[in-house]
Amino acid sequence: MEYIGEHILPGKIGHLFVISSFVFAILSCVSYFLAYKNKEWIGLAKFSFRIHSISVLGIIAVLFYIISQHYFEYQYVWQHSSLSLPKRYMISCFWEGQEGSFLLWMFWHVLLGNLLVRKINEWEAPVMTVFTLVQVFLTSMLLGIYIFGIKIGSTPFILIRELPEYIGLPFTQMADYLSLEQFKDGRGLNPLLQNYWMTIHPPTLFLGFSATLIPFCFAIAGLWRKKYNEWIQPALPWTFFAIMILGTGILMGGAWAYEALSFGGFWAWDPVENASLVPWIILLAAGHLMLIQKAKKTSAKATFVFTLLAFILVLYSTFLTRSGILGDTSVHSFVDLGLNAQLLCYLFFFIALAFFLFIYRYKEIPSDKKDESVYSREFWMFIASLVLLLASFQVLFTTSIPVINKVIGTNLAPPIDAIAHYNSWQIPFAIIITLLVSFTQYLSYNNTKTSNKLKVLITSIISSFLLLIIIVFILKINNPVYIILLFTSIFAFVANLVYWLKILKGKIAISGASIAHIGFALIILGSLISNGKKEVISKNSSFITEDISSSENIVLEKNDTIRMGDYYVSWVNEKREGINQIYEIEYYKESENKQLIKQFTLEPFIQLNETMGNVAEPSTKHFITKDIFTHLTWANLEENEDGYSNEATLSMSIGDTLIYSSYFIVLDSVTTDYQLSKITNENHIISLIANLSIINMQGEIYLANPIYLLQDNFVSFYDFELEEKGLKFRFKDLDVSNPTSPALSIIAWEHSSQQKEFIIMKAIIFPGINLLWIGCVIMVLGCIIAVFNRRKTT
Amino acid sequence: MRVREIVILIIISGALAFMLAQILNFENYSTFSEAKKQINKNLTVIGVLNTNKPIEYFPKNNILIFYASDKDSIASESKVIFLGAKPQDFERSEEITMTGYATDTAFIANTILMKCPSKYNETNELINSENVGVY
Repeated sequence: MEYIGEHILPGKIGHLFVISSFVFAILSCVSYFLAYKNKEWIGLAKFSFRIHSISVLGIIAVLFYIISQHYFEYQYVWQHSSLSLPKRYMISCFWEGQEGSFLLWMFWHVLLGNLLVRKINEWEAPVMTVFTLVQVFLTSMLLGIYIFGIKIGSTPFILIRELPEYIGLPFTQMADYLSLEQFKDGRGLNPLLQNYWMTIHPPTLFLGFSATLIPFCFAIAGLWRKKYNEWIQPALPWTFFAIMILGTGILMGGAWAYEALSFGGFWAWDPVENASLVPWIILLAAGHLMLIQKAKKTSAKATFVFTLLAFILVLYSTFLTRSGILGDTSVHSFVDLGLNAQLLCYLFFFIALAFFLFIYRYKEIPSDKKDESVYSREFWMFIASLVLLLASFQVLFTTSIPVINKVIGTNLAPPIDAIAHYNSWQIPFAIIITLLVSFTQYLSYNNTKTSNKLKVLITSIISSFLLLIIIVFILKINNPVYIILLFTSIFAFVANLVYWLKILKGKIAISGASIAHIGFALIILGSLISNGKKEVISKNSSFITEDISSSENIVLEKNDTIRMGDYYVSWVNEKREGINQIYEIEYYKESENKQLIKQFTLEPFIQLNETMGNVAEPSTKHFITKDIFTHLTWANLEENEDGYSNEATLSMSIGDTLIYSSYFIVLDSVTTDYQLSKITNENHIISLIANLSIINMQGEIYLANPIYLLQDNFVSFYDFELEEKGLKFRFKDLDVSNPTSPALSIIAWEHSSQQKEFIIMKAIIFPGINLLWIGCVIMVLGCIIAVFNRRKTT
Repeated sequence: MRVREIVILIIISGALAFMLAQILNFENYSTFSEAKKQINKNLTVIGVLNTNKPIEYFPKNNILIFYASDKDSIASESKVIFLGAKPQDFERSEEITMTGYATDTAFIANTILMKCPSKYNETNELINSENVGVY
C-alpha cells in the first residue's frame, strides 16, 4: 500500500547513518586493537573512526531535519515536538527521548575523540580501542533491529505505524492515516523542559559523562601497556576537565530545579540527581589521587580503582535513570524502553573488563615501599579521597534501594524523609572534607618542616573564628552541628584564600587548586546557610487538628492585603501569556508611619498544558543576601459554562439548617404542586417541591423552591436560580428509608461572580544562596586554570 | 602496620558498619493493615486508589481526601488525608506510594507519589480509542 504524505527518505538515510556508525565503530575498534601490535592497522583505524564520526553527525542532522520539518509520521517527532514549539527549544527535543539522549552522548564522544586522537602518540591505539568500544555499545542502542526476536536498540527513525505496539491497529491500514486529527500535530515537548536551563543542562551533563570516559580509557591503556605511572600525565588535564564539566552540569540541574520547579530548593536528593553526583565525587577523588601519584609515584592501585570506578558509576547511573527501576522513588526518571538487558550488558561488560584487567595486573602494579609521614600532603589527600569514597558510597547505597530490592528480593522502603536522611550522613562528611580542604595545601609532599606556612595557617584559623562568631551572631544559628560545618567551611574558604594571596603571591597560573577550593568552600557555605536558615514565611496559623498545622501556604483573596513574615502581600492581577497563567503578587513593607510601601512584584505562574499537566512555576526576588521564592500551590483554573461552581451536596431533613457559603439554608417543608402532578391510570407524574429559606448575614430571608419531578420512574429537575444572590439549587434525590423524616439531597452552587477569588501561595526565604552560585562560578574558574596549567606541563 | 593501612581498615569497617546500620534502620514498604496496627508510626505505604469513592480537594486548606486500600485486600481500605495539593491526573493513578502515619480515623500522608500507566501505553490507548469512530 502507498501511504499518502509520508516522507520515507530521511528516515532511510538516518537509519543508514545509524548502521554505518555502528559498523565503522566496530571496524575502528578492531583495527585500533590490532594496531597496538602492528602499526600498519592505524591508518584503517583512523579512517573508520572518521567515517564513524561523520555518520554520527549525519544521524543528528537527519533527526534535526525531520523535527524541524514537522514530519509527524516519525514516532520521535510526534512524541517530542509540536507545530507550536518555539524554534529555540527544537534542540531540546533531542534529549527528551532516550534515543536522542544516547545520540547526544555519542556526539560528545565523537567530538572529544577527535580532539583526543591528535596528541596522544603512542597511547592512541590502546586508548582509542577502549574509546571506540564504548561507541560500539552506544551506537547499538540506536539500531532498532530484532535478532532472533530480541530487540537491539531503539531507533529514532521509526514510523508511528511501524511501532510494534500499533501493528494491526486499523489506522495502520489507512493510506491517508496522516490526515487523522491526532497525527496533524505532535504531542509536544514537556513544558518543564521549555526553560533555558534545560537547553544547556543536559548537554553539559552528557559532556561531563563523555569526558569521564577519557581517564577510564587511559587507565585501561595503562594496565594494558604496563605503564602504571605514565598514563597519569596525559589523563590528568582531561580528568580535571571532566570534574569541571560534570560539576557544572549537576549544578545547572540544581539551578533549573530552583528556577522552574516548585519543590522549593536546588537540591532534593532525588535518585536521579544522586545518580550523577556519585560519579562526580569518585572522579574528584580519582583526580586528587592522580596528583599524588604524579608527584610521588605512590597510590598507583588506588588511583586505578577510583578512575575505573568513576566511569563504571556513570554507566550505573545511566542504567538507574533509564531502566525505569526508579519509578517508585523518583519523580523524573525515563520510562522503560525495553533496553534493560542491553543497558545491563553495557554496564557489566565494562565492569568485567576493568575488574579482570586490574586483577590480572595487580601483582605488577608498583606498591608503595615506605610509609609516608602524617605531616605530608599526600597522606591527607589520600584520606580525603577515602572520605569522598565513603560519602559517595552512602548516597549510592540509599539511592540503590530499588535495585537491592530487585536483586535480593527484599522490600525495603527508601527513607521516609529523604532530605533529612541524606543530610544527617552527608553533613559529617562535609565537615571532614572542608577541614581537609583547608589545611592540606599548607603541607608539603614528603614531610613538612615547620615553616612560615604553618604560621599563616594559624592566622587563618583565628580569622575564621572571628568570622564564625559574627555570622552565628547575625544569622542566629544555634544547631551545634551546623556551627561546626559553618566553621570548617569558613576555614576552608579563608585558608585557601590566604594560601593563594600570601604563599602563591596571588599568581593566577598556579592557583587553580586554591581557587577551586575557595569555590568549593563557598558552595558548602551557601548550601548550609540557605538550607539551614531557610524560612517558610507563608506558614498558615490555622490547624486541622491540634497538632497538624494546616499548611505552609497562605490563602490570598484578590485585592486583599495580608501579612506574611516581614511583608504584606497582595494579589492584584492575573494575566495570560501563551500557555502561562500569570499571577501578579505585590510585596509591601510597613514604614515607620504605618504606611505600606511597595517593595516589588513577583509573578509566579501556572503553565497550562493539556497533555503533560499543569505545572506551577515559581518566581523569585533576588537580593544580594537572600532570595524570596514564591510559588502557587493552587489557583482556580476551571469555570463551569454557566458560571456556577463551588458545588456542594446538602443532605437535610425537614427543619434542618445547614451553612453554605455565607448563608444559612433552612428546609422549611416539602410540598407538592397539584397542577404539575397527575395521577391517572396511564400517567404517574409526581412533583415534589423543597421549600428552602436562604438567610444571609444581615438576617434577610430569600425563598428558593427547586422541584423534583417523577414521571413513570423517570426523574427530572427544575433548578431554582436565586439570581440576585448568585445561588442555584437542585432537588437531587429523596431518601425515604426513614419514613418519619425523609432525607433530601439538595445540590447548591454559587455563581463565580459572587465568590471571592483566591489563590494559595507558598513563600520561602533562602538566605545566602548567592554564596552557592558564586562558589560554583569560582570553582569552575579554578578548574579551568588547573586544566590549562596541567596541559602546559604535559 | 603502616598508618595508611590502619586508616583504610578503619574506613572499610566504617563502611560495613554503615551498611549494617542502614539495613537495620530501613523500614520495609508497609500496608494499610499494618499501619492501622501501629498508630502514629511513620511508614511508607503502597496502596491502590479507590476510584468509586469521592476524591475531594479543599483548596483553602490545601487538603486532599481520598480512599485507598492494599492491593490484595479491599477490607483494608482507609481514608487518606494528604496535606498538599492534588497532583495532576490523580484519578488515573494505579498505585500510590504514601509516607505518613495512621490515626484512628484516617491515614495522614505527608508525601504521595503516584505511578501512572507509562507514557507509551497512554499514547497506545489514545490511538485505540480515537479510532473507534473511524470504523
